Amino acid sequence: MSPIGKFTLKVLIWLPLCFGAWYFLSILFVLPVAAALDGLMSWAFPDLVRAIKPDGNAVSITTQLTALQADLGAAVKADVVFTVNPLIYGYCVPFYTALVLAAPGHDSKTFGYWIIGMLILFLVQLFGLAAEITKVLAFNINDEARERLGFSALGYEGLALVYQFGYLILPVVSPVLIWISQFRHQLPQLIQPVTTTRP
Amino acid sequence: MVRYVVVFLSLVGFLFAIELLPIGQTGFVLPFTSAIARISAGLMQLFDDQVQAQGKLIWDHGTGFAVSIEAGCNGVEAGIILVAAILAFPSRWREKLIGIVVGLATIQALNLIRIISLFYIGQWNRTFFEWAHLYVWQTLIMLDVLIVFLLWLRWQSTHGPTPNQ
Repeated sequence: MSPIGKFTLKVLIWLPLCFGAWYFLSILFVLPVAAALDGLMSWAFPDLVRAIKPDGNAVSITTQLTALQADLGAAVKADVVFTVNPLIYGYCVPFYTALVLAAPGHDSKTFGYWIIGMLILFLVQLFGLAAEITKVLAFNINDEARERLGFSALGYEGLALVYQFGYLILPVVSPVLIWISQFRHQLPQLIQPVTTTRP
Repeated sequence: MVRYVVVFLSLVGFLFAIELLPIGQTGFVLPFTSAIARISAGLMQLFDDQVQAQGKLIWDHGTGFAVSIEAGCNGVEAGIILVAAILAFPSRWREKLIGIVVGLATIQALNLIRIISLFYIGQWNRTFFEWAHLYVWQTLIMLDVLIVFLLWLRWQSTHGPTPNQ
C-alpha cells in the first residue's frame, strides 16, 4: 500500500475513536468556550448580552432584551434566551486529532503541535460561535436587537459573510491547514511514489 | 509556507465571496445544486421509484420525508478549498488544470454518496441523520479534499521540477 493509502486508512481508523471521545467530552469542552464567549460578547455588546452559560453540550445566551410572552392566560415580559450548538464548529477537533495521530514520523514535538493546534481550533470555534450569536441577534430576534446593534447596511452584509465563513469554511479548512503547516516536513514521506522492484 | 498559506486563504476568501454574491448564487450555485438534486434522485430512482426531485429538494413519496440541499451540502465549498489549494501551489498550469478537473469530479462523486446516504439515514433515524449530516460527512468530504490534494502533489512531483522552486 502507498504511504497515502496507509495514511488514509489510519485516519479512518482513528476518526471514530476521536469522534467518540470528543462527543463524550463535549460537555467539558463547552465550559471554556462558554466562559470565553461570555467575556467576549458581554464586552462587545453590553446592551445586548447579559450572560452566556453552558447548557449541557450547548451554549445558552441570555440577552438584555425582553419580549411579551403569553403565560397562563396573562401576557408577561420575559428575557429573550436562545441556545446555539458549539459542536457544529467543534468537529474540527476530532478531525485534526485523527490527522495528527495518523501522521508519519511521530516525535517528541508531536504533542506540543497538537496542543498548539487545539488552541487555534479553540479560537476557530470561538469565532464561529461569536459570529452565529451576532447573526441571531441581528436577524432572528426583533427590531430592538437590531437597533441596539446599530450596524450599517454594509455591516449586516459583512456579518452575513463572516457568519457563513465561520460556519462553512473555517471548521473544515483549519484542521487541514494546521496539520499541513505542522507536518510539512513529513509530507515528502507521504507523497513519495510507490516503487516496485522486479525479482 | 507562509506565502502559500496567504495565497491559499486569499483565494478561498475571494472564491467564497463570489459564491455568496447574488450573481454567484443565481448564476452558478442554485442551478448547480438543482443539478446535484436531479442526479442524486436519478441515481436513487434506479432502485427506488418513490424518490422525486424538484429544485434543490429531494423527497420520498411513500414516507413524505424530504431533504433540501443547502450551502455546505452541495460540495461547492469543498471544491473552492481544493481549487485554492491547487492554484496556490507552484506548478504548471496544465497540471493545475488536470488536478482541478479530476479533483472536483472525485469530490462531487463522494458528495452524491453523501446526499444519497443522508436521504436514507434521515428516513431511518433522525439522531443518526444529524450526526452524519453535521459532523461525519463534513469531515469525510474534507478528508477527501486532503487526500486528492496529496495524490495530486505526488502526481505532479513525478512530472519534473516545478516552476519557482
